[in-house]
Amino acid sequence: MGQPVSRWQIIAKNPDQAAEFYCELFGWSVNTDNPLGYRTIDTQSEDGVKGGVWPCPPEGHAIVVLYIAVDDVAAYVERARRLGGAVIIPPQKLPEGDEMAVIHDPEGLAVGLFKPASA
Amino acid sequence: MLLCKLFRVLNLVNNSVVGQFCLGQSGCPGFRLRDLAWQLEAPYYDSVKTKINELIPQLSPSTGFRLYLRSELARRLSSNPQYSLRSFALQLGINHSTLSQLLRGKRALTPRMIKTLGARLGLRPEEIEAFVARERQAGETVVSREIRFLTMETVALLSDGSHRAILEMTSMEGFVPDTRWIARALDLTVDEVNMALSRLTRLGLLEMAAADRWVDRSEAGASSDAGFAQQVIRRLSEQARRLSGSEDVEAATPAARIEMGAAQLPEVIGLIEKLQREAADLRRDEKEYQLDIYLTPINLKH
Repeated sequence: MGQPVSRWQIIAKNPDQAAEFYCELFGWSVNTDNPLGYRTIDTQSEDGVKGGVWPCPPEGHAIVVLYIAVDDVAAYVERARRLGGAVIIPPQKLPEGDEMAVIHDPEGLAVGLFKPASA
Repeated sequence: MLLCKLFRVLNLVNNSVVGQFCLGQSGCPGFRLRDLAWQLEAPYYDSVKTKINELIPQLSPSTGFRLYLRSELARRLSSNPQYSLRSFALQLGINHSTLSQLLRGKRALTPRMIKTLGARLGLRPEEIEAFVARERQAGETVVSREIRFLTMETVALLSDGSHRAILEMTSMEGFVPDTRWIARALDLTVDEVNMALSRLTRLGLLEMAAADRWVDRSEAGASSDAGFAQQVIRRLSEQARRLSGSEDVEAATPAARIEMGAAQLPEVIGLIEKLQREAADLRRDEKEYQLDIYLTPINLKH
């Protein structure tokens, strides 16, 4: 099991343009048929991890966030804090039952924690 | 000496235009491209110039103003054999030793300095602002940067009525917890709704409790403007303390939201400036709190 990198997320100022760029570049496809209208990306491969594109607010900046699969988001958030990390987005549920949080490591890199609804 | 110069030029070409181009650096002081014109073949000199000019346009506000100044000097030196640090200082209207210190990182680049020099270099106002923002961010800690971002998110949340509208909708009969449905109902784009949802959930004002149930956690704050603003500011304060690791500190944070008409703006701006002047004189031994004041138009769409 372990805690693998389970997905990536591009946070883009212009999400349509970003999605189009990567789809054109790699032949990926986008699906937005979900309650958040989230742009999930199909990389057309069983290998590697899947990802998606989320809009970046005007006050933020474009980044890529890697999400690590964990079995208890809140527990890992607490563990990250004890190790010198900071909580950027506290643990929260997503519409389809998934759970997520975003932390900063001690150098300020954003890292996501993700627990799928099925886990 | 020639070998030393040649080595520096090769580095200049192969690595980066600014990485090795250091004025007055020990070991090879006073290096200037024009010296090479006398000692190297002209085609090589031309190729160096071409390479520099190819690299320079790549520099943007994201690389920092100091780097931009260095590259601008490099570009001018490469295109005019008579050009010097003093010429550049003269054009910028500052002392050459001040310019030298700025280029070597021995003197801080203040926002005022960037604005003055940027204007004299003919940069557009938005480019100058981007350089100022970049420089400000470079000196920030991770936590203060995040708190500043959170504060800006809160300002956006308070000034855009769609956030409150979304919270109010969650308790309405027939509410569909689906971004696309909300976007249609509020005449917003899906991305606008998602950005609003991000702000609300981040401050703990909205919980997506289940696929079919989103819950307003603003503790009835959404029922009035003042109540909502209080809740939002309280949540911001909690998160800021959590981020800075001072959760145990009693929240001594007098926070306020004051609404006003356009006619009162000059008076309010005067008060803010007065506070700025007086607060700047306060003795500050430690950096545990910061005060941010934002004046934003209220855009109540709904």
